[in-house]
Amino acid sequence: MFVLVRFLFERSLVNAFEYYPLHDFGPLMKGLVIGGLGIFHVFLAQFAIGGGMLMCYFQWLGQSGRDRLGVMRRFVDDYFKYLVLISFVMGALTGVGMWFTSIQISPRTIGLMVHEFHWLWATEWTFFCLEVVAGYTFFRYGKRLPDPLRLKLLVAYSTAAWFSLFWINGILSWQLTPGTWTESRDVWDGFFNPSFWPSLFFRTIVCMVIAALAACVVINTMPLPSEVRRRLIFHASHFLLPMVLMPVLGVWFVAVLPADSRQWVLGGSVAITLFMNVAVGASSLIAGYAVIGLYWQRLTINGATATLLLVLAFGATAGGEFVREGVRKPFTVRQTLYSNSMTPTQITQFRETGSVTHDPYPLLNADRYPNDQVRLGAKVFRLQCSICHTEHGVNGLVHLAGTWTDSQRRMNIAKLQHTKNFMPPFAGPPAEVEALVQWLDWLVNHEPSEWPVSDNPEVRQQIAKWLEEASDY
Amino acid sequence: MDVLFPFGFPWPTALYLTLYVATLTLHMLLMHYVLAGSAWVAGSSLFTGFKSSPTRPSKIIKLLQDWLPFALGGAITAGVAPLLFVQILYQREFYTANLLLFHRWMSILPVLIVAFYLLYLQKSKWLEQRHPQLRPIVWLAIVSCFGFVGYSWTENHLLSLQSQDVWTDFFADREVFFSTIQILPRLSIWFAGAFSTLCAILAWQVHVHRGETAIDLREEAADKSLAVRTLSRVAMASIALTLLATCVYGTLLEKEIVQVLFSGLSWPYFAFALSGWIVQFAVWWNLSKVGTTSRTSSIILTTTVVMTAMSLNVLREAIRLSQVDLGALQTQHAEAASVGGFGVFAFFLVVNSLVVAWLIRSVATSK
Ligand code: HEM
Repeated sequence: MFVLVRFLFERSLVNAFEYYPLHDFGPLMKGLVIGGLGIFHVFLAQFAIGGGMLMCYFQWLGQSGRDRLGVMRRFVDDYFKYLVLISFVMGALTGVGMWFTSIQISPRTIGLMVHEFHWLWATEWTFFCLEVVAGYTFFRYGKRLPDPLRLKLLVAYSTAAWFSLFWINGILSWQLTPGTWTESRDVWDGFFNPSFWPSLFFRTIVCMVIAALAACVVINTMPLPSEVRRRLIFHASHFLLPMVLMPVLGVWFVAVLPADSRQWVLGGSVAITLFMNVAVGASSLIAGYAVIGLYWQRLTINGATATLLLVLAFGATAGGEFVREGVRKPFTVRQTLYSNSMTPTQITQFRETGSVTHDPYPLLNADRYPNDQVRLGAKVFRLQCSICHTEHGVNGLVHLAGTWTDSQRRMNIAKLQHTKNFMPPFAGPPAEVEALVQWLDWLVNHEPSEWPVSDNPEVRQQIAKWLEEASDY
Repeated sequence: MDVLFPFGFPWPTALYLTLYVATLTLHMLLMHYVLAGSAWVAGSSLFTGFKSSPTRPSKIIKLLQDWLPFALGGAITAGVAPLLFVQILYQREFYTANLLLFHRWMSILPVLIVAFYLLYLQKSKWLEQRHPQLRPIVWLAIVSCFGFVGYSWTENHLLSLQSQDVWTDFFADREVFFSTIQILPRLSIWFAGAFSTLCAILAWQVHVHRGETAIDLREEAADKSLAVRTLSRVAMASIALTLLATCVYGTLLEKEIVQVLFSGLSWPYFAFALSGWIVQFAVWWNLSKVGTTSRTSSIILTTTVVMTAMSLNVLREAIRLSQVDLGALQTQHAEAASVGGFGVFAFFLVVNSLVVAWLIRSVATSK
């Protein structure tokens, strides 16, 4: 039964292989474009979620007789202004931006995600609506409302905001660990996947941390006596305490990763391990300062230090997001869609028919190339490699494979997934491998205007053999 | 395509079309408020802003300055749902147009961010303390931003309806703008129509708004009457101009498309839209005479505005449906509908709508 479901699913994807007009981002790797915006958006969104929770806490302190100094209400109102100005504007629009950027970078991947999870995204939208109404109502009328109603609005706002994390977390963690969904194709198997819970708890704590640090910055901008400031900072520091759970959640998260992904985090990939260490290091510094300094010793914190800690939190978010994106490789959806948005079945099909044979979009600068073979190579690069590589820029192929000999290039491209298991299998016949090799060689040789066509049948046979040996995907 | 929209389609297509049109209508109503509202304030600040002695802003201007940031937040949030459903309904077409327009398309985001912050800036004390002539400049910037965004959506939409050959040429020629004769009249329909929606919403706001200061209270009655008369004039002009723009747009459509518009699929919606406009015109005419709104007039206006907007969106869809490969799309819709989760969406749609209503009621009735 599962085999049948999977077969039908793959069939529908094969039939639906759409060619889109792909753009060149120059020296910038496409993954970096979406990653950069993603980090920024995630940080703002987490601020919005944690901010809601923090204000509920302060409002509750204020109305439950714990506000000896009578400042909680005012603080909540001031803090909310920042939340509206930063996260309602930038958070909302970078969110739409994530969607648009995903379409620009990898339309087939976002297409599959929308196909599988549109009802959950639509559900998330109902929470957005609640969040916006509750948030703006508090912003406009909060000051003149009685405490219980203020708390109701804040609880509605922060519950809605947290639920938007709940829904999107299921979709993003599915990309990395789809679990039994790969067999059943059931939306709930995909949503409640192995990394769903550790990732949800971890992100919830991150939200609280960002909100608390932002609160420390805001408190320092308010003209308050030092005793009041100290008190507010002490209460905000309560939101930093759950950081002590981060190591446990981190280990849980790493434990549920597939073995190959885990190995990259644990030293298999220098870049991913390094970013992991940045995230862990920055988080440890914040946690140490928060638990020992702010909570235990009840130190106060000035605006500059609070800002520095917030920047560290941004660094940790960036590191964490990079790791999350990185460990998925060579897939955008594990075992389903490779980084270049092709399914295993499509790869088999393209090895027969050619991957760009039916691509209706011409090369933008076709005259730049000396012959049709090099042009074919450039088209293959655009479809299969350009999502992660550039020509000369970030992760540039000229730098990575410039010193290889032609036969080395032929073998390494034909056996791409063995060359480095970050990479998807090559999706084309020997002629496309050879075209890519010629294109690369032409680039390495500074793009001369004349370039011979390589059509040695023995070379083709050798490539075919290598492709055959690399058909284990 | 002779059966009334959306009943003649297989149920998955009908379901997605219905949800798309319903959520797009919500987006349109709020977007109309933003587009027409900012144009109104910009126009008025051009008249008053360069005068040597500052004049007291009218009730309408005060309401708009106050509510535009929220309306923009609402328009953007409401836009997310049709953005989702359009990807199910016409994925290839929508993605291709986005990709072809590339930087141009992506630029709507920074432009919207700038406009959003300018809307907050115009409410700030900071701007109040600056030179009064800065205000019209800020408003012109705001309305230009929204105009650009609206233009971009129309351009993207029209590009998405083109054939593969047009797309290929557009890409090969590295075009940045998609220009067709249809853009201007189509945009004019949205822009002119936006004012009648704005006036209907403002009628409510004027109706329930109370001045907060003693001066406000004294001037309340005179202000309200002036506001209602102004709204009536603007709304009637808006309806007339929208009709004109619709006629011009109709003459530019191909014969087959016009036939679809008058087929069983969509002609009743044509009739709805037209009767909506006629009723609105009549109500505004009456209000311009009496100079005051009532609950009943506002309810009639709101109902007919929603009816007209919804009908226009159906007609907009009928044009698109006549230009795409429906067979292939219906298969994709059926596949999408086989994925689970609809029940959860329906449940939270109801629950969250009830919570929203309860919150608004609680705040409205709170002392
Ligand atoms: C204030 C800013 C905005 C303005 C002035 C605006 C204006 C418009 C206009 C004029 C159209 C109709 C295009 C046509 O049919 O010719 C449209 C459609 C649409 N808008 Fe907006 N829009 C704005 C913001 C947004 C945002 C931020 C989103 C997404 C979150 C959005 C989502 C949509 C969608 C999905 C459609 C339908 C597209 C299609 O069917 O091809 N809009 N908008």
